[in-house]
Amino acid sequence: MESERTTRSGLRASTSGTSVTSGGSASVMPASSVLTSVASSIHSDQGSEASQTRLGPLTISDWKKRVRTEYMRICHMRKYKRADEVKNAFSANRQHIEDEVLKQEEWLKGQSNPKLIAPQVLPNTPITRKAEVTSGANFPSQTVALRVMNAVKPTPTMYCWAPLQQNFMVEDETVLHNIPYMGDDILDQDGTFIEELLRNYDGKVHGGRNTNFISDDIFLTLTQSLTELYPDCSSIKDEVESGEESQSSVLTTDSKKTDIPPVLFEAISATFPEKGSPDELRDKYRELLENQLDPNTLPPECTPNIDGPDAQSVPREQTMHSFHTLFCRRCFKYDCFLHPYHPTPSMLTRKMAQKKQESEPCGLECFLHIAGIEPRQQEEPDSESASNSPPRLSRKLKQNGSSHSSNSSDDSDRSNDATDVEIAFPQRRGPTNAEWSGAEESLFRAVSDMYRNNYCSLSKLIGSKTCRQVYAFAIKEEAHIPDLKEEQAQTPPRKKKKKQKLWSMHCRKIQLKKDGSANPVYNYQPCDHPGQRCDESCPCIMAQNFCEKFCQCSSDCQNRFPGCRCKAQCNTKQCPCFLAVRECDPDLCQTCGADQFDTLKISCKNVSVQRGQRKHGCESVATSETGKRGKKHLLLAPSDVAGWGIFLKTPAEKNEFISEYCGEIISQDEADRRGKVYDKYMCSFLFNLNNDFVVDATRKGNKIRFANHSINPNCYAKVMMVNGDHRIGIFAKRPIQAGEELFFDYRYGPTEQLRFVGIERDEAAA
Amino acid sequence: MRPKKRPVERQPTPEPTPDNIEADHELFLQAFEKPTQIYRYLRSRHVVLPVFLPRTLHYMKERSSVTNKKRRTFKVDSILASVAAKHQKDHQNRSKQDSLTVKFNGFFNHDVQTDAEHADVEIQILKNGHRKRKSAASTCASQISLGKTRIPINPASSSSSPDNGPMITHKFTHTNGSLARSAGLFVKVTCPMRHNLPNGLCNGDLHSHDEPPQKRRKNGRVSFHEEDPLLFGAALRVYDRNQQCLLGNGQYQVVLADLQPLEAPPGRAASWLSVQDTQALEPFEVFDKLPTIKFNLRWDEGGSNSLASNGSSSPRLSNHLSGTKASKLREANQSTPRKRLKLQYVFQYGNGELMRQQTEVREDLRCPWCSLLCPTLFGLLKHLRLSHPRFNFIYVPQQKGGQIEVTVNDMYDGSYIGNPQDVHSHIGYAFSRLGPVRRSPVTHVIVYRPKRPGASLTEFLEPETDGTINRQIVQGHNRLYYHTLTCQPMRPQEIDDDSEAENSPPWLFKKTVVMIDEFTDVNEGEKELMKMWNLHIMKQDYIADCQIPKACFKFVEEHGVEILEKNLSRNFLIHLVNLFDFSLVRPEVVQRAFAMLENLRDSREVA
Repeated sequence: MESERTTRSGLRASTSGTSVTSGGSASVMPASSVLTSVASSIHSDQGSEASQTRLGPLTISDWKKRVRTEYMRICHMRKYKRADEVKNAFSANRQHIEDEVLKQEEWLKGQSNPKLIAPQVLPNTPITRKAEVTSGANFPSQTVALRVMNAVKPTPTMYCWAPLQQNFMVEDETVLHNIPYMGDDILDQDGTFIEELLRNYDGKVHGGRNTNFISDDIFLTLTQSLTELYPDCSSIKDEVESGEESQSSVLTTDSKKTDIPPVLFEAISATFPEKGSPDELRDKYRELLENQLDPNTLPPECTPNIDGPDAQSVPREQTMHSFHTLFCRRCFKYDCFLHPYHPTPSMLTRKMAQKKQESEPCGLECFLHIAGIEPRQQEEPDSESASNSPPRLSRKLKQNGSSHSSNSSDDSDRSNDATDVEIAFPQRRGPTNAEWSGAEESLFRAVSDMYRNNYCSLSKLIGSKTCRQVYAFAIKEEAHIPDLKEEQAQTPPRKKKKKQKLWSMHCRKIQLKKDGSANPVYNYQPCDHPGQRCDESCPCIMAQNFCEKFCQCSSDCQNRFPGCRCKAQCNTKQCPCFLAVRECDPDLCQTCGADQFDTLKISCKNVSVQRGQRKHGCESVATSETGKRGKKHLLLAPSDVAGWGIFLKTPAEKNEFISEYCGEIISQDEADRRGKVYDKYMCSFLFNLNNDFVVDATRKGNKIRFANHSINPNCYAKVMMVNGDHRIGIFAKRPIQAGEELFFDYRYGPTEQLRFVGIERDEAAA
Repeated sequence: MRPKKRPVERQPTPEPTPDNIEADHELFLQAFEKPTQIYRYLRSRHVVLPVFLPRTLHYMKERSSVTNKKRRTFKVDSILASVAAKHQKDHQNRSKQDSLTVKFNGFFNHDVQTDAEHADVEIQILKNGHRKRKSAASTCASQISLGKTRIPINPASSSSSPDNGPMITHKFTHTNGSLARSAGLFVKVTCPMRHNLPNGLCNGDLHSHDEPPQKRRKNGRVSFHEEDPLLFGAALRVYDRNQQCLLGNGQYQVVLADLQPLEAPPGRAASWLSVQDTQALEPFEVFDKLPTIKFNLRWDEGGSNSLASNGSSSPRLSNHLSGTKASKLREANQSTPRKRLKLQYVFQYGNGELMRQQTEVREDLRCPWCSLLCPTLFGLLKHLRLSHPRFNFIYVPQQKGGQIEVTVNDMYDGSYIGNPQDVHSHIGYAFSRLGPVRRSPVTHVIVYRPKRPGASLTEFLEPETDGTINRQIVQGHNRLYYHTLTCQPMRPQEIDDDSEAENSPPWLFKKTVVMIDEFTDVNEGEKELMKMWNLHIMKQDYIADCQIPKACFKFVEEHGVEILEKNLSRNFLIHLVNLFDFSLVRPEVVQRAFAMLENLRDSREVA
């Protein structure tokens, strides 16, 4: 089965960009629902019009007219419906905002907050101006003192943006979202700019009026409403195509609904010639109708819910398919925001059970009671069990040995490695059904990979079957289980000795890489070439990237980055991670404390970007130390230089991590297109990430986006490889005091021209 | 004093045509007019409402009249000792009872013609209690009349014999010394008026005396109405604050001042008043023109200690007006040695390649902008650089005096660096009826004592460096912050919540749900579980493979009930197997996590 099976309904691309509205508190608009049935009650007034036209002989042009009017009506309906949706979403947003405001006010009330007092005009200040009203009609003139209200400086302009604390990848936009408005004069003067912009998008503007656009739903609705509206068409059909009637009635066997006169399709085809011939339309209509008839049936490629009543017995691949294809191994999420391409698991490097089959039967129903099991156990493939010692004893020793070695090789599991403590499942109550349901069969296939012959464990997982039943089923299924041990034999584990050499070689390689600093940096993509070593054809090596833990190659691939073995803070070039502009990987570097998630225990200072955003929420809530290693609290205020600026709340030491520069990740091409508009606005939040991608904080971003450019900055930006992703860290260039404004150098290289901050550009020109 | 009024001296211009001069002057004005106006405005504001005293500045030490030498050696413990010593001295003084004898010779007033031969004279003793400065407004001075007597008016000098004259004696005691620190004699002469007084005299009086106009008017009125006798008075200080006797034995001639019937209290509300520069009469003319009284003063028992130290027993001329004179003299004395100094100010201006300059020579160390008299050249230069940063000053030493090059500072940063609470009154408010209120923290420099290099003029030879120009003395959050998303001003109470404290903004949670929902070929059970798991991962911010087992357990802990309620346990198992397939967890983890869920189900069924 292809991996591309999992697809989205067509609207995703268009909603992904616009679904976020201002304030960060917006609710996401529901994806515009499919208009399955347009209210048919509205048709009544047009029925009379139809009856009038019935009198004359109906030609194809009359039908065309009908199709046209009907089409217009449907389009209008949809437009109204859409407008209603937008209105509802808008009012929902308003409601949300109002709720938030109320909450905020409540909070403020509890804060012993002073009332806002208007600045008092000093009583002693002389009143310099008076307004006087005099009248000629003997009324006394009235005067009142004029008090001068000083002008309040307006805050700089801010365009709407959505808050974000991690990068978010978006697709290229094929249509221009909107024609940017930059004041009337610019539009008037510089019409060529807009033209040029439109050319970038092939003249496509979002929401443009495509008169002849007809989607499947519209087509369906159109056809149906036409049939209902003009019942005379059947008579026409009788008159005009009496010959074909028998044929069509044969074709449309199932229901009257599909009994659409061909003249209708002819008319539609004539009106919308690009949709194909009448026959094609008819086929399409039937197809659509079938899909629509039963909205509850899932598309054929969809596996039924394993917990549901319709669960079927399907192969393992099918059961796991959605999970396999959607899971992002790098974000640990399904359908993540950052990685559009999720490779399916290789299944070669799976961590196998540390514990072998228990020798004791798990209960009365255990399969071990079946005669002839014992020898089967001994046959179990195990490279180390070559010795012919008494089975029970040797197994025990092996157990200890294997668990020990795995502990040393894989430290990360130690914390939850309380394997000695028995995993207690609840006692099964009641008898089990001997029949295997579809769900159970599917479940067995999914689970059985984990515990090959450990039917006790399998039956516990499946729950509704006894050990014995599982065993019996397994015998039946045996032929289907792929033999894993053969695959493993293909990549024999490396000897331990070699590792040291390997590591030193790596360090040398990093040095070499470092020298050619002019080399472009490419985006990392996990390589996936099963059965082949990472050589010249490996995408990682071609892009001059290390293989990461996400790659499908074996864990002792030559190109893997080995991680560091520092015992210090990893903030000097002594640390290979630091030298390679990487953050320490918690899964690779285990001596520097990068794998410690209790912030107090970390000595490593090379984990700030990955940890920076963390609230240390997992286990340790280190309240006092929270601010120390994490990202800094930033405050927004009008800048001393231009527009808004960002200010530090607490002082920072030199090289301390300030914040990550987050935003949308867009391709270089997209950045070129967007950059044209941003340059015109003289305001850009683009930041080059690597050769393939750019971070754009215009629409989504975090507070550091307000940091201004300076040629004498107090911060610097560093693009680092953080657990397989390039991310931009902003660090303190010198000790920064509380309340200082943050600046960093926007320029990509020292020779790059300053483009955005007016003041310094002028200075440079002078 | 203004630069623009200065005589123009031109150096390298070939032909000083009037046109040229005018254009040159234009340019000069362009460059220097604005900052000069600003500084002159600041100066006049400082005169009215001074922010600080220049003498407190380290480079203006010489202006301070009080030496701080004692501070070096001062110890808190020594206070008691010194007070005790003083007390002892007082005791000694108290044992001696001083008796003061005043013998009057006569009242001399040549302007006022009275037919009366005798004027009443009354001596009062004024005791001022110097408690605190605050209470100065309400005087705590006490007046005790020592006695009254009649003295002759304008007696012939020969006829007056010291022995026969009217005499008042008084015994000074220090009984109430704790309260009254200083004591003064107040001589009050009441001179009865002649009934038909010619007006002309009064007028003449008006013209000849250079008194404040207010006084004059009142004086005139008194004489016109002829109801009250003329009242004259003079105050003499006997003891000063430190209990030192100022009044020695001897013959005194005291100039009397007109007293108004309703006299303002001696201690007025403290205010900054410039002393009026009354061009007074010559020192000795005073005694001829103004009413005087002559008397002999003698201390009878154990004269004051200070007498010997003063060393002058000659008649003392106590003159009200001399106060200002004396200080002026002192100033003149101070500046006389530097009279030879010549300071050349070179104003450089112009654009780009064509630089022009004008010079002005000054002979004193006054600042040309705020006319502050600096004690030293170092002080002046320091003042110029620190107080007038809109200009650049470079000092070029010359044989006599020096040259100061003045250019306009283009780098001057006039942005506000004060307290934001002064600008935005509503962001900080200390007092609330509901209790204490948080204010935005503001740092003020109260005492700043950096290590200063010795006073040397070399630092002025070069232009200021960036570091000294951009010094940010007031640090901290000296501005009003805004909320990132709403652009609303941030109150001091709100400064601690970081809008970015949460890793994932709420919209991202919704977004992930919507994105999962958009799949058409993923079944409902899978969708529900994926959404739940995504939200879990996003909330907890897991970053490493080794965290995933924990994440699984936590997931069961937090969402276990939900999984059971939505009937997703098999989906959950599939999900765990999926993690195993991605080699993130071991089978044990799968088993343990699933066991947790099953146990939960069990306990729910039992309950």
